[in-house]
Amino acid sequence: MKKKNILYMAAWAAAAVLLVVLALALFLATGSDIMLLVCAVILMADIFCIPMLKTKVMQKKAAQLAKDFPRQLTFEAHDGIFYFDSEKGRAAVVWRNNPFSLQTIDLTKVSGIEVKDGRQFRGTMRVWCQFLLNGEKIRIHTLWVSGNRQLGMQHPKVVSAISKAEQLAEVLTEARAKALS
Amino acid sequence: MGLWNYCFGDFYMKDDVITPNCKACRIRMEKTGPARLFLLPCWHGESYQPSAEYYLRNCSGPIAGVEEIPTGRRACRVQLCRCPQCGVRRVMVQDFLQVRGAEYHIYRRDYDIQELSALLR
Repeated sequence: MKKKNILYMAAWAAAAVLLVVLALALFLATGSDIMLLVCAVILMADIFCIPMLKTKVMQKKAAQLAKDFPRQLTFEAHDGIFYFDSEKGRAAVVWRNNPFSLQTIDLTKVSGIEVKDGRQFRGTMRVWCQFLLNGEKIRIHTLWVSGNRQLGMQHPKVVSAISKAEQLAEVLTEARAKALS
Repeated sequence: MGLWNYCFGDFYMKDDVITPNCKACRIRMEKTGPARLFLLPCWHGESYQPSAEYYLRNCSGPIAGVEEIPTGRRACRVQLCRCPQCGVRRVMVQDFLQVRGAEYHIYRRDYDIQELSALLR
């Protein structure tokens, strides 16, 4: 399973660096206060718009690629879009860092399906459903808190994320049982 | 407890244990009869506008118990409440999500008995 397309990732990284260089060049060339504001806007765009654009590209490509893939459940995680067909025992994924191919998951080689709530002292930052595919650990995050923040275990987002992860694990187990039969 | 309930009743009622206040007598209503469980056409993080029409339209048939709730699916518990003083009756609807055997309450609303009497039959 190819989770990353190096060329694609490099293109996005180059775009981000180019924007930063452009912002700095603008500021150094003019040195005016307005340019400082423009630079700040460009930097903010770099930080927020590039991840959003990457997500948009993933969604658009996934919609095209999975058009003919029959599924009962579609799940958009932080790093990819997963499709599950529990009736025929099939699953596929379009990765965020490699959105050019719909990669099928061989469910007969899947083992160790688990739900982890990432509980720490005060709460959690991440909730995920994980499984092993050919010995490689694959995580489907249902909650990803950015920054160094934690949410309490009773927080509605955490409860909802645990519920989603459990639903994913259930669908995955059903699809795997179907694929093995 | 009376002043606390009067001030923070709605906030406190998210626990489901506490029934709504009778608007006329200002005292807690009592649960009457068994509660009925219904599945809602809504999953974990989704939201909807809780109204009597919504529950009437979507609560088709009651289910036997919480074991019948599919993972990630929301359900609601419909309970008839009665004021011990004036005898007025209201229907309390508690929307919840069951996660790892525990119930997480999402919406709790109470309605006139005429509005949701169909769900109690």
